[in-house]
Amino acid sequence: MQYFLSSIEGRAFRIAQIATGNRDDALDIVQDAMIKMVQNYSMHAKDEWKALFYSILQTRILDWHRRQKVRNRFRSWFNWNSAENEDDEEDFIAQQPANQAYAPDVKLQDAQFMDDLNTALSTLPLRQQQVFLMRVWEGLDIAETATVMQCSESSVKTHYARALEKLRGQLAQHHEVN
Amino acid sequence: MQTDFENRIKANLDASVNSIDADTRKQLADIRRQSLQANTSSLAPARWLTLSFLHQHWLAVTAMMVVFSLVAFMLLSPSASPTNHQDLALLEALNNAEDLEVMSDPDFYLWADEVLMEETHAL
Repeated sequence: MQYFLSSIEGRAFRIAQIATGNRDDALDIVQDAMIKMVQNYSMHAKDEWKALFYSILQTRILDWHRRQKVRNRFRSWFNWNSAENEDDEEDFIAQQPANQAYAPDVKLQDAQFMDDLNTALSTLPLRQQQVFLMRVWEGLDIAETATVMQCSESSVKTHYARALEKLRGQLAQHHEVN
Repeated sequence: MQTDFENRIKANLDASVNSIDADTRKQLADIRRQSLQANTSSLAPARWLTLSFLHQHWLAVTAMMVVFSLVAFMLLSPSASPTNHQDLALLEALNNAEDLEVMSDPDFYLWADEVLMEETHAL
């Protein structure tokens, strides 16, 4: 289990960070997912761990968005001023990791692509974003993604196609270069 | 089979993991260790049920009790009728399962406690 978690923690963190735009919240989500994974599913077969973990992670991300929605409603209820709300929202771009692994001569365009990709992913609707990351990054097939996302396979196909179309549109400049 | 575009995105996302800063990496490793240890202490009582927690977060606990009392009062009052924005908001919360679920989570009151403290310090 330790090896599994260490192999997956970086990607899980980035997925949560893209979904929340907040480093600390992303760490909290990864922590919750890991604890639940270890406590409830460590006895399951190892080949089930990946899908189980991502299913937990996606649920935690959905919970986070739901809590944010309710909290925002209560903020307005208590008339907390909007200026403070704006201060709380962290700059998404500033939250993204820098491309420190890249040598200066290794394509400025890749760094720019990374920035634009982060922005484009963060603007996708949550379900599209999650399906896209599960399919492209984690390499889950349609059936596995449907299981993780707890939706139908046709929904996965629809979300994926729409996400891909939007990303192609937003990253068209980079796409045409290559 | 993935296209070049998808492969490029995957490569960039992989690179973004490799460039996670050292502090975050350390925190992730700590989280992993704690998660593995939590498995052995899963029978411990819920964090918010302990006396030390109540002692440290008495304001949040009090706020939670006040809100529940207010809700109970509004529900049980025979002449209850929404008279202002706050009453309506509370009734809206009562009619929304998601809101009620969030309001019944002790973490919500910790969050409210933190925001109230920030508000107080800002004034």
